Amino acid sequence: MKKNLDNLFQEKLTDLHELPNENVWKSIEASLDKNKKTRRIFPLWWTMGGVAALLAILFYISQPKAEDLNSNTIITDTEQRNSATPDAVDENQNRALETKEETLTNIETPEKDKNRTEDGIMGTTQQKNSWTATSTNQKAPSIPKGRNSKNLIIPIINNQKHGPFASRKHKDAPKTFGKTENGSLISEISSAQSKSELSDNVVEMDSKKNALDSNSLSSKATKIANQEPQNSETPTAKKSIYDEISAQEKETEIVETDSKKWSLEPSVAPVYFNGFGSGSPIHPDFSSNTKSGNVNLSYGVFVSYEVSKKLSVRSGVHKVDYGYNTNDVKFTSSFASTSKNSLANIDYATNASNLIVVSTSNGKPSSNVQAEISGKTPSKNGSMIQQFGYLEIPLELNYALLDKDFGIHIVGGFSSLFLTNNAVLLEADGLNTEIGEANNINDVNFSSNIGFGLNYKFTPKLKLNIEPVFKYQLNTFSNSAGDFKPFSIGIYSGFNFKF
Amino acid sequence: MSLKELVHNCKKGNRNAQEQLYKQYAGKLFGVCLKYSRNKTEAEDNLHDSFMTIYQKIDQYQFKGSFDGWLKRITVNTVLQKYRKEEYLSVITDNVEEETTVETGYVEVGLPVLLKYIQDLPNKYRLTFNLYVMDGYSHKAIAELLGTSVGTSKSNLARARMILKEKIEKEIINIAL
Repeated sequence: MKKNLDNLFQEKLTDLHELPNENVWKSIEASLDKNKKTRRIFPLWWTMGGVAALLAILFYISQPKAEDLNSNTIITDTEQRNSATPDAVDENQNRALETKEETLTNIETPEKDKNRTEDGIMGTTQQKNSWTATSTNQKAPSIPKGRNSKNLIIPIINNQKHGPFASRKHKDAPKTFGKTENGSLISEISSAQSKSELSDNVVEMDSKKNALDSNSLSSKATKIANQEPQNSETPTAKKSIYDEISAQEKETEIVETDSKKWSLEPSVAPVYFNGFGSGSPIHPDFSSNTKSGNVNLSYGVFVSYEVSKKLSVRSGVHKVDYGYNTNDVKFTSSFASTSKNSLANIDYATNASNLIVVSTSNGKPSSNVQAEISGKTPSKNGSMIQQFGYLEIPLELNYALLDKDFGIHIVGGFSSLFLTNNAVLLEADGLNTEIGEANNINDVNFSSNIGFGLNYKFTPKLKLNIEPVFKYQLNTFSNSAGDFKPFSIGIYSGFNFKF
Repeated sequence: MSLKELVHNCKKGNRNAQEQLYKQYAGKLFGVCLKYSRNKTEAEDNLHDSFMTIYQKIDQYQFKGSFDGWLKRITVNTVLQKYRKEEYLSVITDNVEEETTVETGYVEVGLPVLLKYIQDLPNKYRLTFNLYVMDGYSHKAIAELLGTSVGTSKSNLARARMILKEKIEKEIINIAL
């Protein structure tokens, strides 16, 4: 009896209905749970990224404040500088004092041309005040005039107070000096007068007024002196100019180091990749094969922000290649049905679709391919190389254990890895053939990183870093036979520039 | 629970609804997987993958066309994705028969045996035979699905039929003896 072949199959198999093993639902359930978890990973990751970004923004926002603080310190510096240059002030003061001494003695010992001298000198004093004020202003323009004049008044008053000292000094000082100085001062005053376009009359009137008020002036001055007694002490508490300069330098140095919180580090690393466990991400047949890790290169740049003196956060971009070999494999090409032995986890390249790869580590190759492998077609012994490249974005914390010229720090954090390169190759007799690419490598993958670093500070801005870092890959493969748990060890080195 | 409710709850990711959907359709879809896969284990793997895709894409089902058909299409596509890239088969251009008859005598060849014969076919022969004979796809559609040409699809079908015929006839002789 002849039967149509198609009908024979259709009758029996069209509505084939068979219940699968109960385990299938269990594995589906597990996968659904896993999916939920992986779905959770992303928001968690984004949250972490968000927090990091927020921190970065906060730091950035706080940066101008820091600058403000710095500029404040600088202002304090200038103030200090002003007070720190007491010599100049002192000089002025001394000069003022000297003339004042004369004035006072003149007042105290009124002789022939009392009124005239008084007038002249009082005028001088007044003008001198304004003159010294301008001269100090030239040296320290940021100081308000009022303050200067106040400063100047005080020593004058002091002199007035310490009358005996002033008179003694006056006695010691030759009269001619006083005269010449008065003369020169007067000439300056007259030029000041002509500049300020004041008529002599007005000056005379003022002088007279001042002469009349000389008593009240001195009493007023004493009042001021009493109000600010610390000012009178400043000259005695003064430091040497060298001390002040070195103090200033120290301060500016501190300010400078404070402002340099960001740093950039181009780094390069040899990276060794391998897996724990005895599985194979390519096929269960290769689970028992020995795997040997490959050393590849990672390079990129770190950007870090110093949160505190000891702690810094860093991120960046790195290009990294990983690879490992599956040893003891045999391969040949097949044109016929045996190619059902092709590896499910590999998307074969068109020119490699007829390649068959089997393991030779567990004794015999599987029976289906045995004939082909041991048959007429020549087969090759070699190894299978799996390679993958990523763009790595780390988020790491760096904690300094020792922060001297020579430093030690620890590093810990995560990396997001974005797949950029994926290939499986066969290698025999030094020649490589690409089979295709693995279809079970996740496009995005994470690693947890831990390492320590040694650094040497050449200058406060430049540092050499060497960091061995261990990275444990969390989800490189979507499915892998056995327990192949990939990891990498890289020795990152680079120069760190602060800016 | 009506189909609409079931699908709606699955869209929400409700685990009970997902389980009910599985229980309702697993048998039928496992049948599809068995025919399209190389063995039972792989069929189970493929069923797993198909259901994962179904749960993932269920929000795309808009109640247009039969739900059964939609599920089956996803299953077939999932299996095709797995096998279509995996081999290169030689193409025959001559002697492509439109119909193959087989001398069965009065012997009945059992379902498990026929299923085994299909499963043992090389990937593309098996896929082509299933698509064309079991599920009524045209050669044009098959060529598109498998990324080949109509000629290759016809050739694959002819090869599949030849292999199956040979095996059945051998089996019948064995049974008869």
